[in-house]
Amino acid sequence: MNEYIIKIDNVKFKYEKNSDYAVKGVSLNIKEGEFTAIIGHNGSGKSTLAKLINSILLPSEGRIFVKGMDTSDDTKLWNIRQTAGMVFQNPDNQLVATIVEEDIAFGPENLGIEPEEIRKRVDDSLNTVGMYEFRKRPPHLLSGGQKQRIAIAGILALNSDCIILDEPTAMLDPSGRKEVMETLKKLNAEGKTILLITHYMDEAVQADRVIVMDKGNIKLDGTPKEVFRNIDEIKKYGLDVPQVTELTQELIKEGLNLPSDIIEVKELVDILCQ
Amino acid sequence: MFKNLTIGQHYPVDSPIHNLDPRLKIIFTIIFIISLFLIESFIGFLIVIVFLTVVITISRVPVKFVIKGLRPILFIILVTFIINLLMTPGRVVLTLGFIKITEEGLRQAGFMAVRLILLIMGTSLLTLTTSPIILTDGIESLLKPFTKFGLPAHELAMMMTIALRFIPTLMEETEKIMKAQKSRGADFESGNIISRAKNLVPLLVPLFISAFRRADELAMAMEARCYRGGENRTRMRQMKISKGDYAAAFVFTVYFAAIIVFKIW
Amino acid sequence: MPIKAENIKYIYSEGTPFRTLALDNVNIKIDQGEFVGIIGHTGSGKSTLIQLFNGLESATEGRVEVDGILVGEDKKKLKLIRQTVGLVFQYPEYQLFEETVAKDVAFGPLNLDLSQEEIDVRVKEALELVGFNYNKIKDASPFELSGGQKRRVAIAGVLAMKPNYLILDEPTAGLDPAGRNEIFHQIKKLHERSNVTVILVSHSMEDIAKLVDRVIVLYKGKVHMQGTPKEIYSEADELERIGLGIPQIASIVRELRNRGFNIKQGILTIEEAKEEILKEVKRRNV
Repeated sequence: MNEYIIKIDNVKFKYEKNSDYAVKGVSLNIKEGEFTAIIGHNGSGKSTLAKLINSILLPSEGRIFVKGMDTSDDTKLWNIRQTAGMVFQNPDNQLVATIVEEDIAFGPENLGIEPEEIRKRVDDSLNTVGMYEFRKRPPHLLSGGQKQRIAIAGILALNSDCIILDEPTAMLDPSGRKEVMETLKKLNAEGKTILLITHYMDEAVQADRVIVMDKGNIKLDGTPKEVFRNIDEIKKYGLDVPQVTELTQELIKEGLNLPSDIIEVKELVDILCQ
Repeated sequence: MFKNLTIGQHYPVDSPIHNLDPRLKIIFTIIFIISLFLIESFIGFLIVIVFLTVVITISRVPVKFVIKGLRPILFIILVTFIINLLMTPGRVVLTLGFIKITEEGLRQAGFMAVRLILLIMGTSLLTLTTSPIILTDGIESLLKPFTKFGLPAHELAMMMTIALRFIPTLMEETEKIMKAQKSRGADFESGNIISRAKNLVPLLVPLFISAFRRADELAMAMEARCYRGGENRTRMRQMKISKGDYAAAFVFTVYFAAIIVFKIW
Repeated sequence: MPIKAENIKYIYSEGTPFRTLALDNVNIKIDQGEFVGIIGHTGSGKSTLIQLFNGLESATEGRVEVDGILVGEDKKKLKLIRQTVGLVFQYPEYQLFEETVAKDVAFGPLNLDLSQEEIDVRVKEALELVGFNYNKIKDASPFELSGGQKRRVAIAGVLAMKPNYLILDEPTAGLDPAGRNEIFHQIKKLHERSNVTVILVSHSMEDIAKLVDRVIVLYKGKVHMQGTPKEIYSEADELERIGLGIPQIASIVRELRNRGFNIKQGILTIEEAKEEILKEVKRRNV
């Protein structure tokens, strides 16, 4: 399990029309089975990084390996996209078919898989995300959270080891966001590597590892506890920290003896009520 | 409000007609159209009417739904009827000022109207009993032999699927932008044709921009899911000719033979 | 004068299997100068309600009155109502269509048949109200701006109509924390500087609690709760039950109280929570 599924080696990337690099020399290794959240404000380079991993964009400099496959290697393109599947922000703009189950079949169909096997994968994926009973519905009648679960199921049907999600909850309401996070945690528990790009701190807190990006660089990298205790620095990057962390540090300043890396409500309440 | 709009008026029930292979249904529909043009007498139409009644009954689609399909083309039927009525020379049966109605005209007009009505009823039965997605599959499969001659069968089918998928989304979006611009005092309802057309700019520009953005994102999402055209692509749903299809083919052959025999005889 | 909604009932797709009761016996009054939040999850009827306020939809039953004018009674008055009640939809940047920012903002005033001088003045004012430097932004193409900037241009487009009421539907949806803060900051300043009544619509208490004077909670088409943010915050359990997000600070307070910590209810800010916790800790240590 300790194999690196994604290896990013000093990658730089520049969009053609821009003079500045969107990603400026990022190195990052992601372990198999890890749940990583990448946070950063708009334009920090986090979405570009996701597209680089999925080989939608190619690095201007440096190299990226997905399960040992170089993303610049044309012959590996489909293998890479199958291994590291991608879910996008707008739920409407990534569903192709007019019926839910047809949409989930889209990926495996592209890979030329046998019909019986596709059927099996579609049913399994639908069950995993808890949408089996909606399989005959047209996607446009589903809620945002349900649509994103369908998009995730579409990636599961590719048998991807790793799922990259580019702000999948940005357009959802609180209950939709909850649905998606619960689905991701379940998949991670089943062994999938999750790379979640988000600007919601409460989602990042639930990951194993948090990476903070700013202006194309990685600024912080560690467990949520290690990262979020740096309140001032995180705020400097235009991000929020969990309110409980901020409250804890305020209380420490007032002389209370508390650990400075509290990120969950329960931790603080437990200590205060001792 | 546009959310529940269905395209092609599919009537989703389970019936032997619904379960027929879509390719077969498309072929039947084409032959049915040909059969209508072979008929030269009202008695010939009687066979068609009996046949259509039986098919509609088996399909479990309410007759009023089939008739509803006529509404949009009522005007065309009427125009055809009137033109035929007035323009056909022959024995005059009625004179109203400069208008002369002939016996041949009456016959011809009635004949054309019946033919058109049967044509629409027969073809709408295809869309009523076949969901758009299955219909698309059928079209793709039927066009496949023509890929050899450069016909992009898969691409056409994919375009149809995406269109069907995005029509409700874009309709909703149109409604939303319209409301947003109305909130800024835009008026889409009054004025002459030119000012009305001009007033559409605040609606059409955002709509096009959004459609392009969606197309762009969709293309990226499709590629991310390993889409690379129709080559080596498989399908989850396989079309198989079943016993029912053979039976239907037999019945249909009998129908067509009857029409031919009637014509020759 | 206020916006008044009396005994509102709204039914979608009447007579079809899709029939839905979107609003059911809703009574709301919003006074001039107020800063009100309407919260409710998707499908709670909040979008329908705000569209009734400016006559984009009309109620199946009941009456809506804006500054003494009955909405929907006289078609000719619709224009006036839409000018009085400015509605900024969700993702308003998608309605931008002109070549320059100034032209786009001028669209509303132009529809009001104002003089060119008056339009120019209003465009400048509106853009400055949302925090832009007029001379720098006026000739820019709206499509080259960042997401947050586009949104502020779209809001300016409604402000330029000089509404008495400004309704914003999820004005920060899809923005990052910096963008969210920027928009809220501008809205707050706007409310302070002009006498415009602001109605913020959201599915999250977190966003609006610090800004508004009064919160109206919609649930299943009905007014479920109403009160000051403090009062509503005290009902954290109920808010969660009806599918609304509650801010972390509210769940900290709730948990502490559940565990016998003696602190007051309805705490809105970290500062307040800190003071309360310190008091209680001192009490316990004595």
